[in-house]
Amino acid sequence: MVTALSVLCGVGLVMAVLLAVGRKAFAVEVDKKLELLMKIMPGANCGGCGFPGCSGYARALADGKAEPTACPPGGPTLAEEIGKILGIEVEASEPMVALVSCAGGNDASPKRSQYSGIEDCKAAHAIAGGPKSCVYGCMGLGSCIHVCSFGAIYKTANGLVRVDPEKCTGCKKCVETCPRNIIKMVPKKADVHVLCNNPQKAKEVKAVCSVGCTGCKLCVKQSKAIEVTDALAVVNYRADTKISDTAALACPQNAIFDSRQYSITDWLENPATKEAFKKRAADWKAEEKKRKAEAKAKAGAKKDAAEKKEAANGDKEGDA
Amino acid sequence: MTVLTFKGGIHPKYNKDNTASKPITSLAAPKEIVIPLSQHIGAPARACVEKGDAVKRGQVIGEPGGFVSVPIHSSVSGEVKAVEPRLGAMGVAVPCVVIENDEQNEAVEFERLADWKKVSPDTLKDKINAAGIVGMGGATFPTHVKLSPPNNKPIDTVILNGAECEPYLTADHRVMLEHAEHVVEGLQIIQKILNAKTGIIGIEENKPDAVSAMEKACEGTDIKVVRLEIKYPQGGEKQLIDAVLKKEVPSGGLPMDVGVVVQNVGTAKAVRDAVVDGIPLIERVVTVTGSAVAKPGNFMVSIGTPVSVVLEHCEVDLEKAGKLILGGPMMGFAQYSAEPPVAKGTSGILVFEEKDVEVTHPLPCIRCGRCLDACPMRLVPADIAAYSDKRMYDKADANDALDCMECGSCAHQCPSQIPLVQKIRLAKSEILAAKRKKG
Repeated sequence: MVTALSVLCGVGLVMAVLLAVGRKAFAVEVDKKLELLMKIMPGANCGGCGFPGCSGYARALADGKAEPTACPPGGPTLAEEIGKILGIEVEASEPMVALVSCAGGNDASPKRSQYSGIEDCKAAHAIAGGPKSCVYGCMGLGSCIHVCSFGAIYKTANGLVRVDPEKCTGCKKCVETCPRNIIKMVPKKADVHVLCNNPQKAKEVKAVCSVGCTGCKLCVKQSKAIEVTDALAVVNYRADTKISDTAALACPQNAIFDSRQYSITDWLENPATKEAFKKRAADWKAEEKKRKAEAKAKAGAKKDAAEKKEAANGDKEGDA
Repeated sequence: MTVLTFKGGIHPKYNKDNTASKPITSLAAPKEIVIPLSQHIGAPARACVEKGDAVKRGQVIGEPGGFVSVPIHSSVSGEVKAVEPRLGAMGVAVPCVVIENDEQNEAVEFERLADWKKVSPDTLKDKINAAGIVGMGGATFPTHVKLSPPNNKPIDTVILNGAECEPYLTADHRVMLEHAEHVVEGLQIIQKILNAKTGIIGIEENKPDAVSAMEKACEGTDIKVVRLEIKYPQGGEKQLIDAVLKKEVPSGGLPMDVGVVVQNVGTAKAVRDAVVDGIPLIERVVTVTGSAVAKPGNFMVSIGTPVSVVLEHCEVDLEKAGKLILGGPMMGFAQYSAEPPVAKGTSGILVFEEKDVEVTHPLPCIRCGRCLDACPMRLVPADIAAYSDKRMYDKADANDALDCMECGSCAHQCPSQIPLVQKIRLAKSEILAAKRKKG
């Protein structure tokens, strides 16, 4: 028994020594930075950075092949932490979120044909341009919902999809998936959006949707941050000017959404909200008309007075 | 006589009796003709006329946009009203030449050829190209491209497809009955161009009158007429080759890989008309039928005639219609409007009453394997569709999704009414997109 014990202990001792020596001799060098980076990765493996998963991104960072701001779910906080580990300065970037730029639900842009195929926008779009009358609008079949790793996209009651900006991490997967390029990346803090994607002229837009942008440029008069290209108003999110709430009120199609006034859910799904907005817009337009008329009258009066004065002067001169 | 066929396929209701005995009648061209610049597979044609130009019947109004492309001709004489996008058969607006018909029917001088046997194959091919001929079975692949196989792929057999396996359609049937000699002459021209010794015409058994008409027309030639089993998709290129020659076209390959070229009987007639009479492809036979059509029939329609005009002639009440299909019921295109014009590939116009339209409600797959038995390409549609659902497109590719020709046999047989073809089509487009990205 003593022999057995001592043999066992001996073997254990020898093995322990061997292991201890081996650990030192055959040590695999692991980048300290990589280890630290791996720990702070969000672990969503969404691919938004362009690398294969979080570990791929961490490796690329350690090798100096990736930008510290490339991780959309991590955002500026992660970028800062990465900067600390790598010992580099990180410029804060603005958080971006996805926005579905279409508000033409089943009520505004009705279906032109019955569709009983699979719930996939690409497949539906391939069949005669899809069942929706507007071929630039959201079909609401939810291909984007399937690719979103964060559960940030949901269907609305009126046949559209919507991105929850609080859950959206800006990984752009939905942007790539949408066959009609309706989903756009916008700054999270932006509060005014043109919810239309149809570049056609007024007549064609009105034929297929009651809330589509016709490119009338009335909003452009209210704000310099809105531009019209191809008969479609687009918000220039890089412009510094704050968009006044009159831009939305001026739109005859109610295609501009102002998140300072209404929640997106109410805007899209609550008819009462739309009615209240329409009333506000009508009031504003009436007031604007009155104001303009007054201004014109004033200008006219001024002009008249000036002319009278001039005429009087002329008379005087004539007299003299 | 033995009846030839392939493995797989289905037996849908044929419903050809309404129109099979109706002779082809000409339909007068309407006041306004809308001719799409892309009626074929390949590069769209470029318009070579402008608003206000006077055009004659048969005049070129669109020049080919590349080798895999064909010219487009005016089917009437009149004035070009516009060159603008109009609704096409695929549900989206496509560039079209709109012509106001002056009803003078003034045609350009067609260059006739007395004896094509003395002319070189290249000249014949040029004539076919200039006439804008495409596959008239519905696939609309430019014929001159099909007749130009690379030198390392010699063609020994030309098969004319007279199967017309799509239910309801009888256009090819009537062409074989009424223009048998022209079809045979067209086949001989194609054989000369390809230097192919064997010529075979395959006809489904349900057209015995067409078989005897063609046999009579073939007397004194080496051309064989064979009977095919009544089965869909008997007229598919690869199925036809399998049935007639017992040869298998390799996966991803073309009929020319086994030394065969397949042409539709309508195309053969168009080839003959182009070579002998010099007439370009400006009209085609269209079968108009379905439960909502009061006066069904086979009509010779000028290319560019709006479908609504044809339907008016056949006394169709579009208010009552539940479904409008251009082409056959299996592979045709459902429409949401009767505005699109009849194009080179429009073999049929089907209109059904609302009560005849079945709306499907897919249920889960029960692994019964009926799609597997039906698939003429010997694929496993249920598996490919499942991979498509899971977005595992690489797996779908490994299961040869790209060999699917979208004939619809699997979906037709599915007891769970799963839209298998749509799922496979989605997988195919994703696989091709991924391959393009890779380069």
